[in-house]
Amino acid sequence: MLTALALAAAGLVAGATGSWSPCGFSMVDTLRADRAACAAFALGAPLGGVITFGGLAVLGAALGGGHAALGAAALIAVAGAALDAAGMPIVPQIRRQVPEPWRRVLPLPVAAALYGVLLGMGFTTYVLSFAVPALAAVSLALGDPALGLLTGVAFGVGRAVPIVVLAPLAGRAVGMRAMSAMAERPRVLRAARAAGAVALVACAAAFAAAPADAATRPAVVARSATDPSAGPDGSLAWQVPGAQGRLLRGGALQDVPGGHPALGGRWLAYAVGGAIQLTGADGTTRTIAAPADAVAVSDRWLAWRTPGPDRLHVLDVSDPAASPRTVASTSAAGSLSRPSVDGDVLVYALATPRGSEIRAVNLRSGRATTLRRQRGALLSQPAVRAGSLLYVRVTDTHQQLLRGPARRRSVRRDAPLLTIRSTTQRDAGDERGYSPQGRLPLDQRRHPLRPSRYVLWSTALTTKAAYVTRLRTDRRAPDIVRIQL
Amino acid sequence: MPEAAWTERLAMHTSRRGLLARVGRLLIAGTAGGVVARAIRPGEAEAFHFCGHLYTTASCPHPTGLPRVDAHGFPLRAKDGAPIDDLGRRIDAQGRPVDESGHLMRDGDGRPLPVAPRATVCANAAALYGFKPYTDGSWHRCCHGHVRKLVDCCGYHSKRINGDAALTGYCYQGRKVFCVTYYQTQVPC
Repeated sequence: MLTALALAAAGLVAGATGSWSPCGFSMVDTLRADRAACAAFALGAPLGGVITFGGLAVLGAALGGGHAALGAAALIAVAGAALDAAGMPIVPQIRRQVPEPWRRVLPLPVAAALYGVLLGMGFTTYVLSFAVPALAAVSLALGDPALGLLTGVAFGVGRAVPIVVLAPLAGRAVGMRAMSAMAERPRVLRAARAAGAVALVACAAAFAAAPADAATRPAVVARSATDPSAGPDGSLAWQVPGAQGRLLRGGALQDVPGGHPALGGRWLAYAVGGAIQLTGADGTTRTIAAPADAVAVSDRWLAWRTPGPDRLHVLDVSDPAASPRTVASTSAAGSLSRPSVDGDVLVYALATPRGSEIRAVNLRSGRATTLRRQRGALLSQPAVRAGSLLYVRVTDTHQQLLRGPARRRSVRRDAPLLTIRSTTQRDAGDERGYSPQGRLPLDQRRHPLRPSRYVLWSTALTTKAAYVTRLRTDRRAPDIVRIQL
Repeated sequence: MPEAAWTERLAMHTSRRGLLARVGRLLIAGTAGGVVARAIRPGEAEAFHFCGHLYTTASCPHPTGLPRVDAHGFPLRAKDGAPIDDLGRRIDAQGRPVDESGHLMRDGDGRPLPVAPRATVCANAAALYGFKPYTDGSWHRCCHGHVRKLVDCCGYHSKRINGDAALTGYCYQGRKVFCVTYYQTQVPC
């Protein structure tokens, strides 16, 4: 977003600076008082910008520019900014002008539209600032067609606006004063170039910040894996579908002699046979006879789920005399998510045909709280760590991985860490052969969006990263991705 | 000679004036019947964005687009009438999500994916836009060879989902149409 704003600003300023070219001045007097010609010019210039900057971006994408070239783009922007700030003459200069006969042989609006395209292209006539070649190089380096399109439109708009504003005023006193200032006061052009330099510096800053954005992109940490669990030391355990668990600790990957592994406090817990095995960091072990298809553990508490219908049970592992107790249950129509435990707090999601919600239970006091609830959405797969709550929200349009404080509040206030489309294939919103009028705004596109091939599923949370399982709708093996916080 | 026999039988059982009157009545009945038949001839209804919908009010928000509902107002997928939940997932009779083959969708461990809420399309529209939902009257038209019921989602509000003035449509007691849905029957037409 920041990058797009900076590029748009730089494009606008660079385009406007072109008004000082011979062609820019010529356009003011050519289009004067002809509104149709002004409108045609205003349409042609952005088109020209799109041809140049969008075309370079497409070329950059084909060459594999991508975000790896952000550093190069930042350097180019800084170099252009320095040259413009210093007021260096433009060399090499393009000493060409748009064809003058067009204004005589073509209808003026047609000629104006063509002039607009040529001027909007940037390099067909005199160039008045280094921002123009800098933006062209940036478009090529970034290789992002959407950003190239934006830069081109902004450049064209910047090229057109001063001309279509000044042209109708050319015969009036105010217009003449403005044209005189442009023609006779070099500091006005220098100011425009300085503004371009500032915009380029903003671009460079945005490019430098972009890798931080990139860090929030999901990175696959385990393939053919599901149900992640993160330990306090950064270790990660997961379930291999149809097999046992795995543990990634200190860079070493090892098999877990059981399924549904969970990390928490000093414990590694996993299900084996009809029991849950606890292994402490000091080598102590403990076995609890309980069939489980999901496990969570903290220093003091062990929680597990038994299916059919779902129930959640907890055990105080610090008390050798303690016995398990049931803290949540649901009917056969509903389901409970995997539990997550941090300290004395257990969180889980309840899903029924009437709705879904994320609940917390203080295992010390037994007090239960509903943390999140939203009509029409499926809230599931919560994980809790250090007062933060991570969960998945699914609607008919999107799937989101959301993070917020582990206390009761609105879903709308939570921060999305990852957003992908829903798995639902929408139709066109209208029937074939009928008017598209009346479609919902969501459906007002040429073709319905393709659904996502992923289902966001179980999560894990540390203070530094969020993990989420991605199930595949094509029945291929799921994977786990990490989003750096 | 079946036609001659029919006329001769008719002539033998009546006077000439009575015969003319009877033939005249038959002609009039035939002509009127043609007009009526043309008026009620089954065919595709004129419509705006879906068949049968005669005015400009937009669709109610629906998980998959076109606002097809079942007899109770719950969402169905327009293309095949499959029941869907509020997330647009095809579901079984228990509300559990299923794939296109009707098999339960499962997670990596083989557990079925959780059920999602399923409310009527009108109720969800009302919750989204803040009014109390009513489904009042309806109208039926012939669409795609079957009778289609056009159902308005009504409420006490002055604006419809389009953002402009709401109309009475098939709503009663001062309520107005907020958005529209339809129910496709199996009745041929």
